[in-house]
Amino acid sequence: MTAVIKANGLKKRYGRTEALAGIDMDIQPGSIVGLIGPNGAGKTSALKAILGLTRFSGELEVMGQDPRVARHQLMRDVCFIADVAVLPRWLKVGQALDFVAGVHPRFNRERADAFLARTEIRLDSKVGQLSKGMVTQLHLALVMAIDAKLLVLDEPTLGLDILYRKAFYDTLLNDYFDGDRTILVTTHQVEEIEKILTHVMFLKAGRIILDEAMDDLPERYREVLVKPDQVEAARALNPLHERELLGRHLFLFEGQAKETLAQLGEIHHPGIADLFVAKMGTGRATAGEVQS
Amino acid sequence: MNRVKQTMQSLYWLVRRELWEHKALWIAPAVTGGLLLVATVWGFIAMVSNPEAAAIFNEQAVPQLQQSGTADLAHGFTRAGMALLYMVMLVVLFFYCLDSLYGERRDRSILFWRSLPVSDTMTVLSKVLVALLVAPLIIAAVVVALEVLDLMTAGPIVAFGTALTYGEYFQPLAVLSAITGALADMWLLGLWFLPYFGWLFLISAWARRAAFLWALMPPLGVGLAEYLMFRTTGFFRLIGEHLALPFRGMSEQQFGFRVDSSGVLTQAGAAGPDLTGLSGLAEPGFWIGLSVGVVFLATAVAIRRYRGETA
Repeated sequence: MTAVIKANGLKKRYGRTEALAGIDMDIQPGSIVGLIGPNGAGKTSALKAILGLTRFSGELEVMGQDPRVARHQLMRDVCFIADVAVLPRWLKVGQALDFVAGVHPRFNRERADAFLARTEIRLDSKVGQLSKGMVTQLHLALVMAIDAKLLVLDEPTLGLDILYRKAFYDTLLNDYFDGDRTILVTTHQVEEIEKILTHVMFLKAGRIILDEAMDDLPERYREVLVKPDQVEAARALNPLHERELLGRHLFLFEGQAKETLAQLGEIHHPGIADLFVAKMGTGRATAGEVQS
Repeated sequence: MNRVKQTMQSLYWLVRRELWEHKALWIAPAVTGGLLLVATVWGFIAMVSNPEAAAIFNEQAVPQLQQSGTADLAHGFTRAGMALLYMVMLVVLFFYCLDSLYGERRDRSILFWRSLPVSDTMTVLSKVLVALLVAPLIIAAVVVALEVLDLMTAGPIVAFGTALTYGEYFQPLAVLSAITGALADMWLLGLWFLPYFGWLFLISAWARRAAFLWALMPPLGVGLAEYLMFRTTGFFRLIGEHLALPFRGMSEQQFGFRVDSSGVLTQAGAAGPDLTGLSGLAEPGFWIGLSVGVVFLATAVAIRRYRGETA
């Protein structure tokens, strides 16, 4: 199958700062990819390059097209939600539906209407009168009614309460994702999307430092709650990360055999957040961000 | 759906979108027109309710009107009213153009608009169409509505209160010809003023903040610098002459004289009804201005292509 997104040495500079230091990507159709990194790691730069919203150097193909050349043609097959509240406040809900129906050949008005009917959003309300959560619902309704091949989400649930956040991903998974479509999502709330992802990428200072299928993670990464007398032995095995939890030591290993680790203590599968902290390796500041 | 049809449909919705957002485009002329009508009706009521004033009107104005034709008068009043509405519209359009590519970056809605399959060229084109083509149409529509209201309010008052009959007051064809004539003139004027519109669009696409100041400061700066260095005012004169150029034909044709570049009044030939006339197209200033305007607009499109939200 041809890749939905293929990047080769993708670079982006803002003046002296290098936002993307040459990243490679190969995203296949039908995957849900989480792009995770601390603030300033280059997530938004990567998405903007993919969407043709910014200049870059290196190779990048989205659905076989160069987004620099063919942005508006690309937008027939690509949808994106760039965090909450980019819908203008003066726009009425009905106008938003009319407008998208008018300019987008793949928009299905009935589908959007049906989705909105399940919410408390009224067609004659202005966006400025809706709550943040409702604006996101409206944007999601517009996007879900578009028969697109790639959906790009940049912090789609930032600032929403937990009910809206959960509903957002539930809807996305149940009503939108059909196995052929591809979703690329960046977020700080790693735990929320952990279960829906098929692939995960970590971005640190403009570089991709982890690119794995979710199914491969348990084989590759193991977390061990090491017995007190085995701590030195564990350290000798070159762990990725070590932390103390209620007086006991938790070690994270990459690529160590299950049998070896079983002698040290209890083995767990690390969550993405734990893996993220270990990989970023910069201590608490980053960890706090990831869980915020 | 074929591509041309989708393009035209997109353009239609883009224009509608502009009118949703910028309600001043139709509210300002509607309110101004409404005030004009109220003033007219009020004036007629004041006249017919005062026997002396009505008598003077009947003795002095009515024979003259009947002689020279009320059609010409209706035509003239309509043209004058539309000229006033156009002035109001130019003020609205100044702020409209300046906000058109700046506001969407300020409120970050550009991220939504650009997530749709609409090219930057189309978006800018739709805004130019609103300024050049649709704004005059709005004025024309407002005036058509005013004429209908006028015939229902001011007309009967005049017919009942003075010697002028309703049939003489009722001049829809003259009004209609004035409206179509003014519409053509406003469209033509839009092309004359394209460099100024284009400049405002360019600043709107480019400025990160204070678009208003950026629109005014560079031209003022150039003019001032020229004056300080050479004690000449060539730049301001150039702009002033270009702005006045389309109206030279007006004074010539409407009032029978022309002012040449040295400021000398000369008598000209026959007076015609046209405001600007297509004869203005022979002026090189028109074509130079048009090219400058197109360059500004093309630059605005190129800037929007990679300009994200402001700060």
